[in-house]
Amino acid sequence: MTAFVRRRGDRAIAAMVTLVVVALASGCAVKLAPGYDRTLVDGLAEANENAMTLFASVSSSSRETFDRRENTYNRLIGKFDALRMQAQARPTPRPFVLQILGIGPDPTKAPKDLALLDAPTPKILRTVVDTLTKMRDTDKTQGLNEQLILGFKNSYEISIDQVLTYEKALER
Amino acid sequence: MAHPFDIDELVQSLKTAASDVVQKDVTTLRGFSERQLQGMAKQAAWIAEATAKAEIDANLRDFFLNNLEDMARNFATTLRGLLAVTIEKVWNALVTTLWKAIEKAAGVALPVPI
Repeated sequence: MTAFVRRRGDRAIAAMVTLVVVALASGCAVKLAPGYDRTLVDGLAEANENAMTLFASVSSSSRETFDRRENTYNRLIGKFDALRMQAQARPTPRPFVLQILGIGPDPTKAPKDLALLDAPTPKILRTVVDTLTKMRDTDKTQGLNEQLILGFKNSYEISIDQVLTYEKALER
Repeated sequence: MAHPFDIDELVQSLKTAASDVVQKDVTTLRGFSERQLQGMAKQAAWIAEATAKAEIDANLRDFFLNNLEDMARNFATTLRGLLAVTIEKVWNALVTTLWKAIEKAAGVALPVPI
């Protein structure tokens, strides 16, 4: 085998050999993020469309008409909560290569170290649920004016951008 | 048939494989970060203005402040998640390139890395 190797410097060869050994020892291809879930992405897209429709409808409403919107709020909050649970149930990879690099699961390490590869989706959707719940409750008790709707919509858009960007990036 | 192992050629292939992934993902990450930072800055400004004009009471102000803190934390963990995806793609691209180089040099077909 050495007959086929052109000697270009010990450092380059050592680095290459190290990389090959690590790749072989690690089982080669690695997974550092959860798998893409099309049903989750489709669910988020549908829920997002419903949310934007709700924001559009409340902009021209008053507290007195809350009863007509209550079911819409509850369905939307329930939908996002269901998607949160679906994301939470998705397996998180624990690749062997991380153990070689010293950052993998280890019974001597504190539990928070295992969260290195946890997907952010469940916590983002928790924030979305909290935002929509507060918006519903505020609509019910005092009504929503243009300024309040803007605040809730800003908040919602930041969170939905986070979750859609991440989930779509998992398609690789 | 075996071929001489050209380290310079392999290093160049590895650089290309890695940079192809990184350049594409950096564009996505940059756009995402820009949108998020603008959005959070806009929300912070809204909270300040709404509080100053008494358009929101203390209860709502505290809710939006905690909400903004949660979103900032979620932004950081999302960025971490996106970086993990990029690292995964780079790693797997490098392994594939190495495998092909070894196959070419050894002149044999190797099992595909799992």
